[in-house]
Amino acid sequence: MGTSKVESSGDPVGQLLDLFLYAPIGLIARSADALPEIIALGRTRSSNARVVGQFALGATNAKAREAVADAEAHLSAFFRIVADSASPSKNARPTSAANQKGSTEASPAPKKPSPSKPSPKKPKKSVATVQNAISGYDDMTAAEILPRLGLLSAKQLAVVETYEQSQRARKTILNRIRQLKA
Amino acid sequence: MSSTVRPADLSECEDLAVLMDEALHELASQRGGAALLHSEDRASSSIKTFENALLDASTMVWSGYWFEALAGYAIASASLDKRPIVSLSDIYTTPEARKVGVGEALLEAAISWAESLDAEAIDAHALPGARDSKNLFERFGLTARLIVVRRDLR
Repeated sequence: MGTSKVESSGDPVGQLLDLFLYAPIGLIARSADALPEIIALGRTRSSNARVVGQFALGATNAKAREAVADAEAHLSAFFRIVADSASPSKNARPTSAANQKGSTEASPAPKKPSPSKPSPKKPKKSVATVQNAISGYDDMTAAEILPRLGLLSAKQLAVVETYEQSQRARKTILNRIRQLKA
Repeated sequence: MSSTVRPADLSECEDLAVLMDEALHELASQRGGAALLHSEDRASSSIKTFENALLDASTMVWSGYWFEALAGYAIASASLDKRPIVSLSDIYTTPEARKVGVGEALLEAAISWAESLDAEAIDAHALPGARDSKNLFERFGLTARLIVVRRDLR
């Protein structure tokens, strides 16, 4: 208690002397005594920091590698779906040797694109396909749609027909499609 | 012109029948519609109605097209008098093809046909709440000559 506690003088001049004169002198004297100890402490801290840094770097690399593997898995799943949609007979689930390590991460990958295949509700898919046939279909009047029907392929006509039947079922449009299909 | 009318033929019966079914459905939901349908002597099916009409020499059927899509029809029959009365039994356009000239074109065709027969007059009917039909008729000079009243007793 008594060793560390400094008896500060009550008057302001004395306090200023404590702060700006005696304290720096004491600090320098103490530093000189404790210099080897401070150097040792600094070495320890810096080596600890180096270890922590290396660990962080290693962890980041691992994360980066995982992210790359994940991205590869996603990409391969995406390409597989594209290939499957081009040739429906294909049903194998390819497991790339390069992704063996990331196979646990890759397992959700097929799930990610696959919801876009079966899970979207039919109307959403129909909206997308009908939009491909006639852009802005939902906002168009029958008068705007009718002249465009003649420009569609049989497949597109079928898409529009299905969509129209499920939505407003305008007889004029359905009649025109039937005419064009005949 | 986006609206055109032409005499119907047998190949259109199926498509016309779809429109007639829709027309009858719409008619039945209007005031007086059920009674009107009950009083009319219609064939068992809409296709049959069109087939009969197309094969009848005193009856004409027109198809109304809008942007080349079948969007309406009209059926008119002429009495066998020397100066016949032409009766427009049906005139219908799909909801989306209303106020675009299809109904006018159909009525015009029926009036022209009646004139070509040297007809005395052309009759048509409209239900009490069918404001659009009444307006259409009035634009072409068809005015009310008889009001049919009824009280349901059952």
